[in-house]
Amino acid sequence: MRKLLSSALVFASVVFAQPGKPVASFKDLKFPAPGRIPVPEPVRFQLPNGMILMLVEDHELPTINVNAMIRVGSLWEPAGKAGLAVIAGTVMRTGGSVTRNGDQLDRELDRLAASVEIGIGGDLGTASIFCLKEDIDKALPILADLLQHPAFPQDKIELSKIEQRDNIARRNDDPQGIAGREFNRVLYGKDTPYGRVAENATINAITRDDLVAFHKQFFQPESVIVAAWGDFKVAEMRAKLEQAFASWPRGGRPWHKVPAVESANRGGLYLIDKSDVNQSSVMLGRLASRSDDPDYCALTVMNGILGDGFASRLFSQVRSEQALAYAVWSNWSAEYEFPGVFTAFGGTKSESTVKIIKAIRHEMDRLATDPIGDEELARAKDSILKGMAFEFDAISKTLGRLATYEFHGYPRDFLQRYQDGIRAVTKADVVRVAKQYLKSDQFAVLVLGKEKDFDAPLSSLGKVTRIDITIPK
Amino acid sequence: MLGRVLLLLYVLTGPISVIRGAESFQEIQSRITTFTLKNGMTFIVMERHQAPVASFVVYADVGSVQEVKGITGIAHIFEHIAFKGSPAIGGKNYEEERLALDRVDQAFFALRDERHKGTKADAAKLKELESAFQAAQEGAGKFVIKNEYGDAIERTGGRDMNAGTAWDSTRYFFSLPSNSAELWFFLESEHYLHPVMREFYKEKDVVMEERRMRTESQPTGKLLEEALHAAYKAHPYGEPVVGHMSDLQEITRPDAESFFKKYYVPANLTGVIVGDVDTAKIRAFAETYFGRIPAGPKPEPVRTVEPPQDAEHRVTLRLQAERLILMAYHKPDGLHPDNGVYRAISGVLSEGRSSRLYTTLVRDQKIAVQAFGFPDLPGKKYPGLFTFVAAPAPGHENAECEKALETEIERLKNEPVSADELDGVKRRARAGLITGLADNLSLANSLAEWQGLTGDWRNLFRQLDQLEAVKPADIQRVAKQIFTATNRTIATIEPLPAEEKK
Repeated sequence: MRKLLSSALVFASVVFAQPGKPVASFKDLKFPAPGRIPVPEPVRFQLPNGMILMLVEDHELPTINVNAMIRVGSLWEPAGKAGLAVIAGTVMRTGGSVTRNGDQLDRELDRLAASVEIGIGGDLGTASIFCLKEDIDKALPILADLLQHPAFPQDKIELSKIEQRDNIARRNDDPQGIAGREFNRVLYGKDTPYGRVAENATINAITRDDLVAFHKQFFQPESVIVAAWGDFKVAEMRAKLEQAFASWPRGGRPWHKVPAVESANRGGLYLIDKSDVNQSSVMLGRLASRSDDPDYCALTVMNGILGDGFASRLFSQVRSEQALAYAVWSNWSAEYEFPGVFTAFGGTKSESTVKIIKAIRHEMDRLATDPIGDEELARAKDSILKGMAFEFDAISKTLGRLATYEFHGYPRDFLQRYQDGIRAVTKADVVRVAKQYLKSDQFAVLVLGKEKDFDAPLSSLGKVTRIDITIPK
Repeated sequence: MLGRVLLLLYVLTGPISVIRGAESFQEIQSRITTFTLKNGMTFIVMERHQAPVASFVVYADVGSVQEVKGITGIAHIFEHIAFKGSPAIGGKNYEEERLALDRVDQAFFALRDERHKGTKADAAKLKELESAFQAAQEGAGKFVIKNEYGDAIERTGGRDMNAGTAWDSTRYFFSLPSNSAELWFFLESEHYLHPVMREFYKEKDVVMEERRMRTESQPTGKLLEEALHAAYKAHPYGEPVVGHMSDLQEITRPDAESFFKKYYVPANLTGVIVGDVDTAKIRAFAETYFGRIPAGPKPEPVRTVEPPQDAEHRVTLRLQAERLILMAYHKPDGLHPDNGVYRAISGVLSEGRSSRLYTTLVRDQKIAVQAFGFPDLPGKKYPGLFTFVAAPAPGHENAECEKALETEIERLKNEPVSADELDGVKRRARAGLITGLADNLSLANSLAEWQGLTGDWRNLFRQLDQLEAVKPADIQRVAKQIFTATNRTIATIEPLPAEEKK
């Protein structure tokens, strides 16, 4: 690393500068060549029990970070026990291990200014350490112990259930939160692993035995990739990690595949009537692609032109020109192993609800029909390509990326391929994918708002399906 | 480099105390340069060559506290308008555009004057004036190059472009590949040298949508607005940054021009650059671009001082939302010598799962799912509030949380905090400062805030010394001083009964 850093320094060598003349336009600015991007090369190795580890030294600050990715998530929990994965993650940490009391851990870590955390999301569990470097010998055995021998005490299970019931009770308090959740459920199907949500009944159904079994099923060294970076020597850190994890026996269970996403067409108009808001949250979209889709780069550029950034069409037309919204954007969100969601969002006063739907649709449709400008194609591509240095401005980003690619079965040079792919996108590619993917008349359109104040009935756009967000007891 | 110096200190001080106060940050401080231009604008530069990128911040010592009744929200409107550019960016043919913008103002005044007649307004005339206003805006719109400012940044590979207005200050920032640093100097100096307030009246509509989104359709936004209003009877900390709807409707471009002229003087601006840059070149760019802005007198400070509160204030919101309680006590400004004591109180009460409020209200009593207290809402520049927040667990009441918070506050007054708890707070503050150094943008923002607020960025590091000096007795003294019933405002959300929801 030192060598890489010092070669980056060359580009910042001191030049004695005199005040110059201001340029008349930003277009007259001439920039020197971009500085060299330092790319750290992590040390990768595998323990006999199958766990993969990646290490990079980073001596700028006297701290150490460890971040483990674990193949576990709510995608694999039973439908009748939705909430099991997140409670398991929480209690693995708060409940301590068979030999370490959770409350004592809280005190010890807070006094050290260190953190050891475990959390489980949809298709990924994480276990992490942040600490001052001299505390790593305290923090690492704690993390290893919690991953292998969680105690799941009853009182911490109950505490986590209270938190989950509270999330359920409060889930209708934030309008954009409601819209996002229900939009997701419309697109993936509300009862599928990707669309279902925890309810009081599913939380109540979870037992300690369920948690113990869930842990046993998913926590095994073959399902873990550990990335560590910070102020250590690789050889020493490697020895510490080996000592912490080498005795963890293989579980022998397979690497779990993600469930299939049903590709049923879920277009249509959906309404959530909420009488206490004066701004509607409007979402239009469809299922998107995976990150390894051959069209992903063209779709990313297409989305850049449509709705990503201050100079995009949605921002310039729907916000700056028509002044219909403060928040308006679109996002082609690809996931690594399953299709993500394409969303266009606009928040507008109740009285312009139908107007903004039409305005956003108009911009989508125009992508396939009106010519794409050279300037806007260049903006969408250059904002990614010229900003590539930001993908390397912290060692943790490079390391995290490599671990993520390996975790999801992507090639090590995926970012390079992505960059090449973006560079190659032409106007014709954008028009082609816009025609193929942006059929706005087939999209799902979801509106959360105060129906009686709308500028026109939503039914003027088609058949409306009402969504009831009442929380089941 | 930083790593090595800190490591040396560990070796000297042993594993428990790690690093002591500001002196351990000497090396990083020695890499920070400041200079002031002839017109009074201050710059801070820190070279950090980890990657070929840099972050840029301007801190303007102007916020919503500068507003008076009738123009609330104007500081924030200007922040939006700054992105509309200057004669050199965002428009074409400024000589003609200028006249077209004047015509938009005139059309707005005529429409406004007719609207002011209320029920006596002439409906036909209103309609005519509305179309005239529309036509004038379209006329001026012909000169606009939409969002050219943002376009220039994105085309250069910029990231994190944004701005924020608060009660105390307004900040503008973005990050760029470091070879393009001159772009920031050009763009940023243009909007203080000569902002062209194009699309002004449309942008007001955008801001009204922002108010609907953050406040009027958002339970926590409503709670905050009501709580501050109840806590302050005189000082502008009681007014919303985004402004009142009627003021947003009435504010004119000339209002914003005069606000800009008065407050956006170079003496009120601090520029901060952190990243892979060369300080000498930065200084030259600063003189070339920001040196163009004429000097102006530093505006007078806010006159109004909040009088002591001598009656408890309570405000209850009945909403379609779950319970929440906010309990706020007046405290001195964020630069008061007791600043470290307030931080220590916040740390003991709120940091981590072993904190007092988490262990009592959440973990043991299970009456709340969240509970914490923190100083300096809504700002640091003037006397603010030490604010407690608790979210009752399902089936529990705000009143239970209020009582439990009071018990913990009384404990602070009546018994000294343990040395162990206080040491934890101090150590976490140091660790927090260290991690804040890793990111160009967050470091630039911290340096900007401390420079803008206190006149010396070194206070970012000195605050650690202040915290280091806190003794358990100081916590008792301060708690007794401010945590009194008549010095507080309690604001709650109570859910509407189910049948009243629809």
